[in-house]
Amino acid sequence: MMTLEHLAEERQPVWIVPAPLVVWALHFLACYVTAALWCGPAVGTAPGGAALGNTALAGLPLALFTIYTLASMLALLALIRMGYRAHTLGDASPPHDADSPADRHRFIGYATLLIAGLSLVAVIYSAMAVFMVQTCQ
Amino acid sequence: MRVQGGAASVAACVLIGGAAGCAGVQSALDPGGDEAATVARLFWTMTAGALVIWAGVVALGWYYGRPHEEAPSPRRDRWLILGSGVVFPVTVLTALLAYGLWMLPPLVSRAPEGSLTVEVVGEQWWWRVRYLDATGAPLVELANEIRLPVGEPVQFRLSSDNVIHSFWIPSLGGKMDMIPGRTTYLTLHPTRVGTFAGACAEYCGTAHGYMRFMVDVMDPAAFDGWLAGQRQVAVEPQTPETQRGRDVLRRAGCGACHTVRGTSADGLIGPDLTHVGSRMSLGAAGLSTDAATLERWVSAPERLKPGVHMPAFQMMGSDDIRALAAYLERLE
Amino acid sequence: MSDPGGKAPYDVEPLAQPAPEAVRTAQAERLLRAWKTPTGWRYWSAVNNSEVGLWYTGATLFFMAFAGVLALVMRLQLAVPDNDLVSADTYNQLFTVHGSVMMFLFAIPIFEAIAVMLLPQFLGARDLPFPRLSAFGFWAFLIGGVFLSGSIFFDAAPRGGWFMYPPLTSAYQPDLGADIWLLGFSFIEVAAIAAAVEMIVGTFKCRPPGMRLNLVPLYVWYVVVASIMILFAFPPLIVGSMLLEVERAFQWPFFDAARGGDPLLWQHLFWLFGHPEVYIIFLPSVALIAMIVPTFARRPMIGYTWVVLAAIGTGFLSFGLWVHHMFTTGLPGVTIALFSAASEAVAIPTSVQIFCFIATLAAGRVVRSLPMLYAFGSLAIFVLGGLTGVMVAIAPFDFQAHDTFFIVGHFHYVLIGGALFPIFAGCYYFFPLINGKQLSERLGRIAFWLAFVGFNIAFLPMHITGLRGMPRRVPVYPADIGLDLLNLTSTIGAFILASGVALILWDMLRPKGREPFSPRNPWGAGTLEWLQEMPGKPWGVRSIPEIDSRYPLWEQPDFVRDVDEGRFYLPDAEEEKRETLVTTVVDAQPVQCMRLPGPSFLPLGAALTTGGFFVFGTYHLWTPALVSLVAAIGVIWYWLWTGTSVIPEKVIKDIGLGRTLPLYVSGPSSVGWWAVFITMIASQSAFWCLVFAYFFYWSLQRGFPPPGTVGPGVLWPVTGGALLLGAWALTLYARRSNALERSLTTQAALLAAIVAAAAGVAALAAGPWTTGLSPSRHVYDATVWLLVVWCGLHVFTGVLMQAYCMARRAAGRLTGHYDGDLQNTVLFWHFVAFTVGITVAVISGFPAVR
Repeated sequence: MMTLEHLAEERQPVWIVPAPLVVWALHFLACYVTAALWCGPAVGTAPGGAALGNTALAGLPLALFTIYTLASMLALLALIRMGYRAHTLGDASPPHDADSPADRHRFIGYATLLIAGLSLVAVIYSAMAVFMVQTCQ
Repeated sequence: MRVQGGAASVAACVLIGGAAGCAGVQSALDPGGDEAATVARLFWTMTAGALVIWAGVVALGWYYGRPHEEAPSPRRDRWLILGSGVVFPVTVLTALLAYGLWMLPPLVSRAPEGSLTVEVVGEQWWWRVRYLDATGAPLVELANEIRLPVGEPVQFRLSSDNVIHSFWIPSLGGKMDMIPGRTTYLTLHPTRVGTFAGACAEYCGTAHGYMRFMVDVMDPAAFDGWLAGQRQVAVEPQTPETQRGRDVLRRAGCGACHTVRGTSADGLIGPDLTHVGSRMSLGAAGLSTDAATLERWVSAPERLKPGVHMPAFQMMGSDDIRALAAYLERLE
Repeated sequence: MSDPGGKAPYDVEPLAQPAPEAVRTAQAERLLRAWKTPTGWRYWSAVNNSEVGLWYTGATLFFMAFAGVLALVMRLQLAVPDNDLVSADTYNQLFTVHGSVMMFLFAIPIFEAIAVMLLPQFLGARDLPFPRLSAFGFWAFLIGGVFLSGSIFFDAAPRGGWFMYPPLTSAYQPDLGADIWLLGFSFIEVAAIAAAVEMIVGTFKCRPPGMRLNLVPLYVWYVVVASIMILFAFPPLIVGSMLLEVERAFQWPFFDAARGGDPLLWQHLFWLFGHPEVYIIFLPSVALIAMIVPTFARRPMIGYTWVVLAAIGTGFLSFGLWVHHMFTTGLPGVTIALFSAASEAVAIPTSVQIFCFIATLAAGRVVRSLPMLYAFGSLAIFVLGGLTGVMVAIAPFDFQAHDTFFIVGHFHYVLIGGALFPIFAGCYYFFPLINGKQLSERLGRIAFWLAFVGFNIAFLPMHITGLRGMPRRVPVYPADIGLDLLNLTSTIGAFILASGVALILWDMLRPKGREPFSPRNPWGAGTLEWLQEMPGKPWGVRSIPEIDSRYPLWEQPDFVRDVDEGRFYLPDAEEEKRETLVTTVVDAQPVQCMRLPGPSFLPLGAALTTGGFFVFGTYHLWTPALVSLVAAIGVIWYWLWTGTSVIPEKVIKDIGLGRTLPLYVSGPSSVGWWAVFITMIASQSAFWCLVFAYFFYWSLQRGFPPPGTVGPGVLWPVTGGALLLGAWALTLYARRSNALERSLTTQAALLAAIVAAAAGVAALAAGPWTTGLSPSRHVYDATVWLLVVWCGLHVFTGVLMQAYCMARRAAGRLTGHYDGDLQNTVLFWHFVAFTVGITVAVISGFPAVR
């Protein structure tokens, strides 16, 4: 059981609220950079690169996309779990608008849960993009 | 097979586009090629969906927003927020995204090896057009006019050595930018014989609004004949006036900027004039190529096309200019 | 109910009995004297948020009207085909200035203006944490705005489009227009970042006691998200502008393909700003709706957390959309797909918040009102704009729609529906807070219908105009291709819309002297801003309340009475000084009673001198520019010296309700430390744009560095880096010895740090210098030099701060306890050290490992 001490504001992780979107951003950026490098002349003209005649992404970049996506989903699931646990602390339900450290804690958890859900959809969309359109043209 | 989008879309065009509907030489909704047809179909699908969703959201907002007594209902909250706010849009967007991603690769892919290749270079503010042979060497150069054989893929190779332009023939397909230092590609499949209009879609300076061109999609046989004709050198002037015009061309130094193949004029700065009289328009500005317009153009091009880099030649005197115009008009 | 933790033991109730009447009168008089707004010509020295916010809002509305008139001229030109009302060149200036002014001088600043005016009221605070900084921001905005808008009257306006794509703007427009745009807007953007810093610190550190994160008004959530977005969105544009101006002035070839540059870098940087910017405009506007809806539904917002999710989610995702403005630049299909996907995802949070509003209305007791009418108009318009946005996010459709009137129609639906109508709703709703008067219900209704109908007549046909082949930014179109009627309709609609907007502006400006004051809280709202008396008092709130709920006026019994009778915190200003409370980030527990500065002309002076630097610089008048710069440094130094980190006459102060707080804090609990930290986040995002540029160029070409280039080498940059890290370490050491009150050691350490810093910069520059990197030769040389110059500018600022600390210490204004200046200097140097480390790793390390 959480005690008041556990709920002190110094111990409240606030970073978990934007964290899921940071996961999305990292996934997005990693996919973007990987695609840009493999399609661009600096890396893409090396053997296996897509810019040299070979216009479809294959092999290593696709493996990388897979790794990025799986890692992001794992991280998001962990954040969903954290958020859900904070959200369901005790037996209160939303709107979490009481003037108490517990409701503040639940609110943070609930926001994290929702944001992680959104991030999960966004990561899936990015993954759809890179796996459905594997072309550098 | 050209796709018009069905009777419903024509009706919709008339409704929102006025009596002329969606037709037009420059209309993306009056497709003359595969790419434009694909996008037009996508547009009508999405528009129909969007209108239904718009009407639904506005109706809900209006219905619940009119004055009424308190009516709490957690069930309705869930339906509205989770159902209408989350599940519905995620479902629709996922389907739409998948549809859009599915149609993307064919639209960005290159034409098959051996297809007709046309190089278009964006200039300020006109289009340098080169038909290339199989090795990539130029067969013939012209300006502000593109003719294509119907039913065959064409590969455009686009570039610019000045500012950014964007090459767009709405009836045939989407646009593609021309960027200094890069080469971009656009593949089109014209499916209908006819005349279409194109325009520069990226703001490129003073005369951006006057940077247009004409596209003629022809039967393959007619196209071959036309291309062979374009490869000929300029016709010799036959009348005294046109002969005088040719002399004016030489004397006035037109050849410093323009090429007229078969004469000493071999400038590369301005448009090739070898067959200027046969073109569908003048100056990339939709002007006619008759002698009267040519005369006005040579005297004071700035009046017809603000910002144009060609200087005015009024000081040559109207007789010389008339002769020159007559000569140019006959360069067919 | 088993509520772990339960009610916090430190939860505070207001005084059971008010102070005697006489005491309260005396308190009110003292408060009034402390917060008195200056009169006469000194009125313009006011720094109070209510005055500055009002000027700011007025100026933005003026710029909107100006840009609107320009739009009407454009619509007249386009009314008939092949028209010659204005020349092509004038038309190009018109759309450039219209777009730029609407974006940079109206849409973004009005959010900051309204927030300056209202954020303290939402938070029951007396003022923002840095009143003089807001005044400076306003004056800078006004100077820059007048400079920019005025240029069109001299035919010298920028003509590169509001997006300013090079090489058109770098090599093909040698006139001053582009310089005016680049320098003028950079100046305004710096002011916008200053305002964003203020909003963020205000939200996190100046909430009323007890306003935990789960009780923050929704408006504040939106504003803080938009402000944080500014920190990451504006620096790319500032960096882009810097690159472009340096190319124009000194021929460094960042966008010149012939020397290794690339015009697309500008587009990346511009849209990395430009897309989030749309949401920076949209979020604070929809925030107004989020306050209006609960008031007229007479119940708290349903799905509060969902709305917070929407604000944060939109803010983040909007940074993954920038390439959807570049779908036709020939980027790889996979890149296009990735950005198409993110552009679809961003629609989800937007839809969530709309349905939260609808659910709230459904459950509440809705009453008819004018602000709700505008909110409904906003819904009808914005949803259509959002849906066409979803359409253009599908890349194949964008290939056709891009840069046509379809897009013009689309984004006007988004911006007018998502920002202008909500702002008008907010004007009608919040106007009583400005001068205690209501706007006219009758005029407001007429204006609404004019604006709403006119808008749709003007902009709905544009979707078809675009798809029938009309590109954007053309002054003429041919007569016979089906565009005539559509364009004429749009022109007629534009004038109807303009008449509606003019009526609203008239309603706000018309004299209202004879009309009665509005009743207090005229709409029966539940949030803190409606505590204000009619007309308002300069002190904001009579006493700073303890917050227990999201809608205290509805949910906390006798709340208004308790505030008015001074039963909460700070009901008095014993020393007749301006004071407000600083609280903790999560639970808003009071930690400091902060003294705020009063009226001063220094912000105006600082804005004039810094503005002079930019304006004279634009005209290449280097001597006056340099004089202005030196004067600016002098004025800012004097401002800081006399107005900040002032040592109070006592250590702690009784703020009422049995609580005492320190008057001075330093380090992470102080607002100054936060401001430096947040500003440096913006600086870091600019720096990472430069690093991005380096690797962008590298990834694009096989010759980066170009063959035969040896610079900048390893020795000199590493030496420079080591010296600068030494300067950083010495600054840290100075803080330590200062805390121990070792004055001499502190001074010696700071002096040594300055010397090390100067030597470090010289060594850093010696790298590219000795290896012959010449910035106008190739983009590699230019990029390396720019990173070095960037470090140099930061070190220069850091040295000024060290010198300032030495002077403060010598003057006895900096002591071991009152060490805010030194704490902030150390914080700044943390960032400098990081920047230098990354720079050395990039310019020396990357070529070496390759």
